[in-house]
Amino acid sequence: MKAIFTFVLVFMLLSMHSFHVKAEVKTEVRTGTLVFKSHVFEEPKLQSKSIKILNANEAIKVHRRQRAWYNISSNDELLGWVKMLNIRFAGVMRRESEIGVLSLLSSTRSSNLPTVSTGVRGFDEKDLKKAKANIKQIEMLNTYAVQPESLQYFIREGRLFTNDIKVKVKTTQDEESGKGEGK
Amino acid sequence: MKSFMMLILILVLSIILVSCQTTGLKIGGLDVGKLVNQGVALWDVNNIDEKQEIQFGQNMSAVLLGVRPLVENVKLNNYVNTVGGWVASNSSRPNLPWRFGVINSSAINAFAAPGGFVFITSGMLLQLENEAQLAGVLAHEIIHVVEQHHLNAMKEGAMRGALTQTLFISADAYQENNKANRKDREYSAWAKKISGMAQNLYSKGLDRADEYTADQYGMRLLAKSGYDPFAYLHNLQTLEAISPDDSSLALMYKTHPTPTERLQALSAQLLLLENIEGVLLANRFYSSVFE
Repeated sequence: MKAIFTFVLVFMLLSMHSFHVKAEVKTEVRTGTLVFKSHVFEEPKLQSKSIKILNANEAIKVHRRQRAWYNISSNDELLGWVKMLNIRFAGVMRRESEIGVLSLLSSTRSSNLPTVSTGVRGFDEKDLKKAKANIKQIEMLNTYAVQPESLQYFIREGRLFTNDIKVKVKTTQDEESGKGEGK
Repeated sequence: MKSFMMLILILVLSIILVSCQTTGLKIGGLDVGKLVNQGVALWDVNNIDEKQEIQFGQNMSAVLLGVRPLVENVKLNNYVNTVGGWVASNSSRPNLPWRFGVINSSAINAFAAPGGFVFITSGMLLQLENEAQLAGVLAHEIIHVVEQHHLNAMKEGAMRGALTQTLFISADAYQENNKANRKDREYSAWAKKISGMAQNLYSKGLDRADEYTADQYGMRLLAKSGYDPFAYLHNLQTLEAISPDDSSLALMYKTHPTPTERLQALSAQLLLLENIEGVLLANRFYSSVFE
């Protein structure tokens, strides 16, 4: 009886742990450099207090983002917030050999066709020149069309809503602000 | 024998009559006048209706999918269609028959074709971290469709002749298609012409100004759809960090301004959208794409 109780308890704890891991949004700490000499703010807004000024090309770590601001550290000291466009990330590119990516290409397949290759499958000018129209793929594409009821569920589940924003508002580089020095 | 000679005479006269009816207008190797007289509807390059636009986009999409096919993952393609369908429903052309697909290619890119066809490569999908970033990439392509950037590009300059010719052939093939008895010979001619023009357009790319417009309007469409608009900038910064020499970015760099240039051009949107709250939906993205 005691063994069963222990088993159930361990199972419950493990379940809770896996739920917690799944619910957690993955936030990678990324390295980068400052493109401009930049103010570091106490809070992610321009009206906030500037607590430090960092020079261009200074190495930093980005911990999280809030709207157009990154929370950064430098030399292992958590500093504050800088405008997101003042930062350039160090090169990180995800490749298909990473864990989980194979499922993207081969799980829940729709037919018994051969397994998709995961090697280099380019899409450049040479490939375009050799291409021949593939109408059968259009037929397959049509089978993926979203159904209205699925879309409604998707909107509710994601708590998505339509913001009252005009899409066609074009700005020019002349109007931009915040270039150069970070403030 | 007499009746046979009569038949020959009638045939010869018929051929002469048909020849007289042609206008003599030829584009490339195609006798346009003859097509007109055979009842093929003309597609005015400057006045393409929605039905023709969709047909044309379908033809161009077939070429893209001739380069690399769709990823055979129903769950993934359904998910991308749902995200794209939601964003497109907030665009100025919600009633197009929108279709979204994941192309099985390690290249990092996304494409659109007239009439509501949008594609993202699996290589691009791998670089994304959340649903808002995916919606951002799709929003950029949706703007190309809504603003008819591809059709406009084909109406201009050197492509105009090719477009006219292709539309004539498309019209011909379309009519045959409607009759459900398309002849192989006509289909081959159509496919060849469409392929040539689509290859040319997707290799050359759109006008750089159209790319900047798609970035700006796309970011705003993303915000309108309830997503965090700055997720799009974050994605461009991720692309900026990848070496331009990486072969997976070759076509994108050839056909688009650099990510750095695009980020600079988008900086003005920071102030305009600074108070917008939006969602990222990272968990739903991961469970739909990677699990």
